[in-house]
Amino acid sequence: MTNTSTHSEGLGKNPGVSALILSSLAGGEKHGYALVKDVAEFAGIQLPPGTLYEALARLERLGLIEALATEDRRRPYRLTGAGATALSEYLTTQQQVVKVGQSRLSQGWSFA
Amino acid sequence: MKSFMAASHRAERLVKFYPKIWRQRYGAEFVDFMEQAITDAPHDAKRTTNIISRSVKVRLGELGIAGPTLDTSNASRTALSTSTVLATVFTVFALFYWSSAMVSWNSNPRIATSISVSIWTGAITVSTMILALTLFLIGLSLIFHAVTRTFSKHEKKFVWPLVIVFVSATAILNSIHQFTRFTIARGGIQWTQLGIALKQVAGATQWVTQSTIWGPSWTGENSFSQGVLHIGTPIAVAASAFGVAKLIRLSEFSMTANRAGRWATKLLTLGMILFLVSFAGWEVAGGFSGSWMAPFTQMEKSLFFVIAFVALLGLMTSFKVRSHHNSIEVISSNDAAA
Repeated sequence: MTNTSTHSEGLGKNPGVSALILSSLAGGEKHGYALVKDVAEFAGIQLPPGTLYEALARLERLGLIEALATEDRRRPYRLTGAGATALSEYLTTQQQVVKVGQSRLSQGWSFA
Repeated sequence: MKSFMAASHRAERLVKFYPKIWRQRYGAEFVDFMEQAITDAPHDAKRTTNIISRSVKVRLGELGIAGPTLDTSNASRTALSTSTVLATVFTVFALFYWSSAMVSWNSNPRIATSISVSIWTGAITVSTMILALTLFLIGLSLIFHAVTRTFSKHEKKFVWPLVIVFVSATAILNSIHQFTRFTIARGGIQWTQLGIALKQVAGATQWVTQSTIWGPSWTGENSFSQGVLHIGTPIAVAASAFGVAKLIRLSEFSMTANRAGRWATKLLTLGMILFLVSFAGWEVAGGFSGSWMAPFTQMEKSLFFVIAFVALLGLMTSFKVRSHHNSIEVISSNDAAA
């Protein structure tokens, strides 16, 4: 059985937010606002600005994303190799959780 | 255009919740982000609350209390600076509680203080001395460093913090002088008899710290507790702590100074924890029982929880600088291995 906490540590604190950001950046480099719009589109979650920038700083510190040089105020971020690996491991764990949850629900769970 | 200008102003205001070092790194893109967010949804209380709460977290990180910091190269300086401010607040209260315990110790000629209370009073004395001496040495070395740099290398950055430290130190000394005038008028402290000297120092400390804690609201019950300098003692204590903290932030630390800074942070935390344990032990052992001293008021007891919280922040700072130091060592050893 895969250890969930180990994978969560791979994405740092608040792995859910990190996974959303990394998944968005997996589709190509984006700046903050484009990233929030993308996440809202594919996950229906509105990332608040304070949470977003806290997560961006954490992911950058962990080396999972990198900020690209720009002369504009809009700084794009890009997924790194380590970030792609961490996201892949996290999603594999989540898929396992989804699979187990769905199979147990289908095996006759009912309201008490 | 008008709404964009308004959005821009609001974005500029919101980014100011974050510390300077964060603004230098993320400020421009955050303002750009907020301009777009405000244009899309002008009023969002949840969004503002999120920014304020997260910026507090970032500020705590930059103060070396909790969470990560962007300014990793100055982590031990930051920790020392925060610990100095926290320990100064703590020490004022510690001196008040210590002086009360010391004045009460063996104060009743008919009932001798129990051995357990005497031992805990000793422990309170030691922990208070650790705090006061460490703070004194930190202040002295920083002032010496800053004065030397100002005069030998003409570094102007130290001038204002030095002025604040000297002015506040003058106010504190004036306050101490006002309250020791009674003792001085009666022949001064009898240093030849250690027990009596300790009681006299404790008596004067009790007056000064009561004045510092309660400030202008405290009447002081004597005619010397007047005057701008004297009434401003709480402000002066806070100003001196912030002045020294600023000097720490502005100073360039060598490897040795960094190590000393980490040790000083640990020593201040140790002093605070030791004091809390000793004071709790003193209370459990009987505290004021048998002495002529009135027990602590509800407010004075409540303040104990305030300083316990201050000590907790100090402990968090100490742990943070330790874990940061360890991670730097791991990175260094990995570099060496590579």
